Amino acid sequence: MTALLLQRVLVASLGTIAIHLPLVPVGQAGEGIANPDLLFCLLAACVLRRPEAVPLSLVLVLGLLADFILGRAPGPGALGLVLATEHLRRRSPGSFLAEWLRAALLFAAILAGIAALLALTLAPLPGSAVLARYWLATALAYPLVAAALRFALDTPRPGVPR
Amino acid sequence: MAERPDPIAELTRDTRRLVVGVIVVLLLGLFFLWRIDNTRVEQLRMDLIDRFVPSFEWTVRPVAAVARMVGEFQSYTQVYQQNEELRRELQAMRGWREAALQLEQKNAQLLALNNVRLNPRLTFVTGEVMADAGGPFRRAALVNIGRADGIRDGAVAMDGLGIVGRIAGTGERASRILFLTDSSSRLPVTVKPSGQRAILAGDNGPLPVLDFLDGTDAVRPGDRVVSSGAGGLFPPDLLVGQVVAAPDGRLRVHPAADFRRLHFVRVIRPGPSETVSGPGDLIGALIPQPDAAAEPGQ
Repeated sequence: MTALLLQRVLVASLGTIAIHLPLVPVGQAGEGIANPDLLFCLLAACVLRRPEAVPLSLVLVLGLLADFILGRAPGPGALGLVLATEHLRRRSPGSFLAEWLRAALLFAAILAGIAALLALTLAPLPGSAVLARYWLATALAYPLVAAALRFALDTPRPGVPR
Repeated sequence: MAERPDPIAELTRDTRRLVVGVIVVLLLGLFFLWRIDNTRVEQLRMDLIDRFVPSFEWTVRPVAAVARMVGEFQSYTQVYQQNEELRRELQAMRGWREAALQLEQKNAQLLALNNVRLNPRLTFVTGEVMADAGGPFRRAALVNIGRADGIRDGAVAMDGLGIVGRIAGTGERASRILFLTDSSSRLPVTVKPSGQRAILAGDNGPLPVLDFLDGTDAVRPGDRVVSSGAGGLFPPDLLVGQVVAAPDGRLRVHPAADFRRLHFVRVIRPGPSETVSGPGDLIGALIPQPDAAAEPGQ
């Protein structure tokens, strides 16, 4: 029980760090390389390894916090995270390659959904090249986050019984 | 959970679905609320940032310092050349300083002769950039000055040289600067030698577009672009950047402000400005009487 609580606290604090990392004032993000969406990587990787450590409420709070603090449209980002984690929760990933592919596709779906929602409500949209760079950075960051999690969450392999 | 009997598992799955559905509806509702009543939700956002970001500043600082050091390490290898160059520049600057001092003295003399009234001075507050709220959807930064320092929405923010953007959202001790390059930023500008008016429209890229320019013949790459002050939002004649011709054939502006190393930002507090309201009375139907012409107009 305490171990579970500890894991949840760990995920929450890692998520807060992931939200605040893009805020570090080092030059202007997105001109050269885009900042990856670390929160998505973190939550997706965690929910595949330890689903019980990532409760729905935690995903919701972190997603909303990210939307508000990072200056994005509030709502769609959190919605994407909630739906993605709910989708991943019941999967047990096979090989890491399949997991990676799934995460990347899910993130592309989230971005497409957000862009569609913004376009539908006539909100200003970023260019497709910018979004593509963002997606690429996040997809490339995913294995790194997953590797880091292996130490943090003490998970031997993805897909080990819950 | 998996070894529990089936009905309970079914039930929890159904309730879970219900909860997720409610969350989806609530989040969509929040998004539409943001689209409809933007100001209130943005105020909520600023309150959240006010509460959260300054308390995280101490974690962000060291990371930023290390990243800066790494980024500027290459410049340490060229310290000697840079030093020489700086010395030369300093020498040239001394000459200019002398010239400026002489001009200032001359100017003071002329002013004393003339008893002119000058525009009210612009005052400014300088703040430190505490966070880049950058990302693919927004070009913005957070600074550590807010309403407590007299910052208002719409005030112009500059780095030492050029306009960075304007304040969009103020908290008590933090405010958000919407960069020129953000896709929702529009700024009335004048292209300097030709004096043509245009609107500088950001598109989330590094070079904002020069839009609504009537006749591009008189505008050449390299022309200076300054704020025009149209609309009364910005003070006029603040440097914005230089015109460049982009490969896509449009005229864009290379901002004078260095967005890559934005550390300190000065936010201009415009003084109480006089506005001219209504049409000029002199051009109206009134035909000036010979004796009324000497009377000074309001």
